[in-house]
Amino acid sequence: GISDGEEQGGPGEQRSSPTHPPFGKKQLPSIPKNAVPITKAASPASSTESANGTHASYGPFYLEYSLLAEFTLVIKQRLPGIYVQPSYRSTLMWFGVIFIRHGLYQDGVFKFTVYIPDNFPDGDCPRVIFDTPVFHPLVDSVSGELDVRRAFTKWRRNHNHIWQVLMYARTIFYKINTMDPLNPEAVVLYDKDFQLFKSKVVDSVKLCNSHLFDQPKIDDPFAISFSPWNPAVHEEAKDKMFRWPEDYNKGPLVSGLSWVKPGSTQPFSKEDIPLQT
Amino acid sequence: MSWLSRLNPRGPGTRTGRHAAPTSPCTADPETCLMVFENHWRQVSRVLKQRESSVGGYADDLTAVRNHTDQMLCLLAEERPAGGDIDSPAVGPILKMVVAENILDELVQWHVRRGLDPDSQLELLKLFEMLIGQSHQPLLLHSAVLQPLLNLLGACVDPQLGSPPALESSLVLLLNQVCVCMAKETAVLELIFRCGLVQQGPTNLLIFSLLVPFIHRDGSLGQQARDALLLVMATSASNHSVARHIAENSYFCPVLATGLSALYSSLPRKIEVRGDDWHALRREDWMAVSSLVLFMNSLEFCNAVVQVAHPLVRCQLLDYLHNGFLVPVMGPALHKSSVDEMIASTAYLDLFLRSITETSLLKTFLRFILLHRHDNDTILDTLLTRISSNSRLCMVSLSLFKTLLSLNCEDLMLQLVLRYLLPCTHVMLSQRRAVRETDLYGKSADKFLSLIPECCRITPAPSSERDDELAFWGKVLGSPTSESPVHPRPSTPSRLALFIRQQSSGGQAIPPSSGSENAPSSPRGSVSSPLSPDSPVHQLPDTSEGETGYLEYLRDARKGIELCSWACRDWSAPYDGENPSPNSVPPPPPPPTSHPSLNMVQEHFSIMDRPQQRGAVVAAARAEWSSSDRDSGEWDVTISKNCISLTPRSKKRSLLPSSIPLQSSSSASVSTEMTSAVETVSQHSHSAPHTALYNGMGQVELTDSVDEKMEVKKVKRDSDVNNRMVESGMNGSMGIGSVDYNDFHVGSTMKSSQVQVKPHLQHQTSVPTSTQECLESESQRLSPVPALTETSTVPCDSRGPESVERLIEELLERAPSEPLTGDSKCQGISIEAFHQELRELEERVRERRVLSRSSEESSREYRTAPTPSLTDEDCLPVETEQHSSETKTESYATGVFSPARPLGPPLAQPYTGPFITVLFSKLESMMQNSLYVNILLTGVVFQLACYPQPLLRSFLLNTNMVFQPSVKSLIQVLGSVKNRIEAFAATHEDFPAMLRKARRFLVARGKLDWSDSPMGVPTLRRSDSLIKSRKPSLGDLILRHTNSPTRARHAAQLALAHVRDGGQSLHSALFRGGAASGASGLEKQAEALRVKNAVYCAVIFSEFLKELAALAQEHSVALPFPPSQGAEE
Repeated sequence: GISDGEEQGGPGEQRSSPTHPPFGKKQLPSIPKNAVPITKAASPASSTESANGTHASYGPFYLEYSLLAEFTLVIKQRLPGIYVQPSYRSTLMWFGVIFIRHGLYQDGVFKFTVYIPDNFPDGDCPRVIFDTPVFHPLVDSVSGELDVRRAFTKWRRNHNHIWQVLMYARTIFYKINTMDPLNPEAVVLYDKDFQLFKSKVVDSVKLCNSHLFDQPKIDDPFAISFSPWNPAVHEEAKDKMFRWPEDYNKGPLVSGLSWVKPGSTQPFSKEDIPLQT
Repeated sequence: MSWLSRLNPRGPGTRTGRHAAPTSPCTADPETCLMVFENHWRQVSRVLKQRESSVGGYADDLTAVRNHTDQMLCLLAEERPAGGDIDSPAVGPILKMVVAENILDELVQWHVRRGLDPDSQLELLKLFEMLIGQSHQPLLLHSAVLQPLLNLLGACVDPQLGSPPALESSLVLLLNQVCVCMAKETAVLELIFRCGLVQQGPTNLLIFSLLVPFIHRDGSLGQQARDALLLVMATSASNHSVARHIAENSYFCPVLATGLSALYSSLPRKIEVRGDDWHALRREDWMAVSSLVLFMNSLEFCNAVVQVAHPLVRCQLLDYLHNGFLVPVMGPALHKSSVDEMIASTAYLDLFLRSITETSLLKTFLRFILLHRHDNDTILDTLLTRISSNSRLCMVSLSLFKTLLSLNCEDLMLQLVLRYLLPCTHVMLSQRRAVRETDLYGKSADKFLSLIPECCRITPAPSSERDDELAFWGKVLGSPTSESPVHPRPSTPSRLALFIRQQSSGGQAIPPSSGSENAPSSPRGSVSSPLSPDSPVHQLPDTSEGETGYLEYLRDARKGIELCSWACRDWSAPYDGENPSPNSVPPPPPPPTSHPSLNMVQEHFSIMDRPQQRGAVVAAARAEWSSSDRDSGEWDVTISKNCISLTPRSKKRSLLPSSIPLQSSSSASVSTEMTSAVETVSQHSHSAPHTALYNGMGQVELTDSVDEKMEVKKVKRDSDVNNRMVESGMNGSMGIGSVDYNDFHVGSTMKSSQVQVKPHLQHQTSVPTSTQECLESESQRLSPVPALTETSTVPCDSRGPESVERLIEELLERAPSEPLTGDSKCQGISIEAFHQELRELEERVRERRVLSRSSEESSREYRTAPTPSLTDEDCLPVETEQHSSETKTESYATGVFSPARPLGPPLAQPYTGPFITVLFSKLESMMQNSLYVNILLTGVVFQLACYPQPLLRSFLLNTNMVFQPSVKSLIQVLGSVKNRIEAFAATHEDFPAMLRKARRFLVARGKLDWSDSPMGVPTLRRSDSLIKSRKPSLGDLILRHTNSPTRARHAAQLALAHVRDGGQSLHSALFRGGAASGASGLEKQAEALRVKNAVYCAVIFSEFLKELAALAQEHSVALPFPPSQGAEE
């Protein structure tokens, strides 16, 4: 329910308590068109940009739009069970949540934050840090950081995209890789005592889910926060997600003019609806 | 169906409560009323029965019957239903009696038998109208009421002759009432239909056929008739037999369609315009032209009928519109040979397209434009070639294409652009995959921005100017100093509004970022660091006050793309280079090798002949001179009416000659003679084709409903007011227009005008008198400096010495217009040669500058007298005539021999289509285009670049794409313009100052236009929001570059202030000083025009690049819309 974000008044009043969970099947309809909530980057980064760019002053736009474009790609990928939302304060920080639907980590709801280097796309790969350190070979048990680098040893612009990082963050819960772990304990258990590993995973999932309704770790108007289902708050937002934004519903009457038969490239090749005579 | 509510039954609300309160108290009790009624009826029937009696009682009888009938019908009208439920109210006693005894029928029959005089007809019609309109019961459901009504109507109206004029208003009103009832009680329609069937045989829907003749009537009568007909249409929409009857047995559709033809033929052939920036008919333009109002009413009616009518009727109407209006009337009209008529018909077509809201009607128009062939060319082809023509026609055509593009119609885009891109032959094979790529990292945007000429990056202005500008921009976006640099600000375009709001309220809306401490540190430094100096919001105002617009461009681009991709969501294919497959598409039509209709509008001059070409430059200067002349004097600022708010006070201009000692008398007289000559010509131009066009329509009875007086009068009145302005404003094209009439219609008149001008020409340039020779040699003689010494030595008032630079500066301030040479490029003159030519001219001017300084030293100041300007203006039609005839003969040669480039590369090579070609070539000549052409042109390209289809998007905006060598890319075209601008700036040291002024003028002017006319285009009643969304009004256009309300207001005020303090006026007098050099006025004009267009071009060009960059960026973050439900089966 974060649609038409910018349109409604100051960011402070309304954004400070974003209690809408990303329910509903897809988060996509509400976000993309109106309210891609990207904030400017605090950036020495633009200096790198402007170095190869022509107008130093446009550098920030390039960075911001690069990130917006990355976000757009994420949306286009329709990654299953993954939701992300750039923060209000910086496009370099994205809030996310992964829903695990089966496997060892089934029912896990893991909140995480993506940190994107400010010289994107020319720097290192983005970092993914789980709010609560998940018990997993590739997740640091203290910081909660996911080992992303192993999958993206060198970040290559045009080839690597943030959606791939997100995809990777999801994959690790379905396909456990024990090579060069960040959490050696988990690997040991995985190899030696799988039952214990499994129960630790279950505990970890429970722990994460028990913190689900906590205040977001980072105080940001666009941080993802969960609350128990409250029809007064959520019903409307849910409705909205399943509808097109109103602006588009009553869009121009003569929109979408086309009389081209699919598969044809001839104008007016579509047959008229036959008249009942 | 909203128009229903608009139809206000005459009685104010008397019947609204009919169903709601069926038992509401009556004034008198029903019993008594019935008794009174019966009493009256007894009296009447006594008279009716003695009908055979003597003639002597005639008048008395009639009076008695009338009086009683009045009373009876009043009682009947006032009677309320006698209880019953809402759905089937019980019939009141009076009505029961009327039905039982068939009273009304007897009454009417009595009248008919004794012969209805007009007076009685009128009386009866009024009585029935009162009865139907005010009755509390659904009377028409009873055939005892309906039948006599139909009989009466049949008796009043002769099927052949129609109704007597005296009866018309009562008749239409009555019919209207009947239709209102019909709309309320659908059964009435069926009843009328069946009643009629018995009586009138095939033409049974009498009510309907009676209304048809009034379709195109103006005033409230026509409106009532149309409303009534619409009600019938709506009511019959679900009644197949009635619809069929309307389609098969009534003249409704043919009358409607051919009526449009008739009305079209009475439209002004030529559109008199207010300013040189005029390019489209807006509501305020046509509301004053009654013939156009009439047409628009009927078109609107067609639109409404299409909206509500039964499919049978709709299809028939659309057929008739296509075959009875578009093909026989619009087609030829669009192909008229005179430029004036082309302008008019193009503007009309544009207006019609903007006014239509019904999809199927729009389809009919589009089908006509895309598929109908007139002389082997589709209408679209013809319209396309007009873009390459000159000034006004080009602008009107661009405006039309802007309208077309705004329809987001797949069929149109396919024909216009996509079919040429579909085969993907324009890209290297290896690049085909890249078609779908988006500009992820802003590389394309960066490329576009890098093309902004160095000289256009704004440098700080001198302090005096800077104050203004700071105030200007500071208020608009907030200067960097005025805000607190505590928190990072949202910077995406969509947040700018927010940002501004916060500022104006003064509060800090962003909560303290306490989160920054809690947050795990970002890999590189704190995320929530204090505002960096690189923040786009801050940086831009910092670097240059003029470049704040980028955020708004981003926002505009986002809006444009979003709207467009929403509108394209139901297209049949994504056009992404794979679907439709490049291999399966039919090859697009090859480029035209030589295009006759293209040559027709050529207004250029061959480069091969040097002197002639020079003549062209001079001619351009003259055209410019005359057109800008009106900028020179006083300016009227009208905010309320005009969209072009700065209008020259033309009256003042005509006073000018008196202040000139030499030549004044002769030139003044010549000028008036010439004016009158031109006026005669234009009058002819109205009448001649007018009658000719009437051939197209066969409906004789229609002619009387068409206001034949037409608009000659009206148009003339306008031209009285701003005669000079209009004539000069029309510039070259108008001259050509006259020529065409000269050729075809009014030869003698024109001849005389030539003769009248001759002596004057002679006087000025001392060329031989022989008409033809004079004209031919003129171009050669005019440009060399010595030839004009006489004019230039005219002394004028003794103002202080002024430099040429100052002159140019002042020239710059004037509104630009199109030089005749402006488009020469497109027709095949090499721009380089043209450039060369101009450079020579420039050289000469520079020499003269030196000269002028020396002459200043000798303190002999001259000022270019207004005289030459006047005379030039007068010469103009002759000038242009000469050129046009020249062009005409030449164009043959061009077609056959000349290597001049036609609209596209040779056949074998990939061809991106005529639209792209013409747009690109027009872009390439941006430096020579007038400001307004450039504004429109860039607007069209902008709109084209909003389309999300990867084929089109990649072709226009992906600067990394590698095209086939023969395919010119947008970036190449822009690159060449950039080079030209830079070359130009390098030769003008005062370029920065001129640029600043031009920019300021544009901003101010844009504001004024905008605040002036918030409503752009005519709207049909039912969907203004839509039409507004695709309005291309001028204000809108100029404002594309700066459209925030606050900014607009400030700018408008500022501009007004400028205009008011005369000396510093934005439009200070032309040639006030600085002409002291030995230079000829003409060459100075040429130079001035060139400078002006170039400087304005530099401004527009820079802004355009930002727009394109913004588009490239926004495309990369845009998401496609899924198709709407039920769009694809």
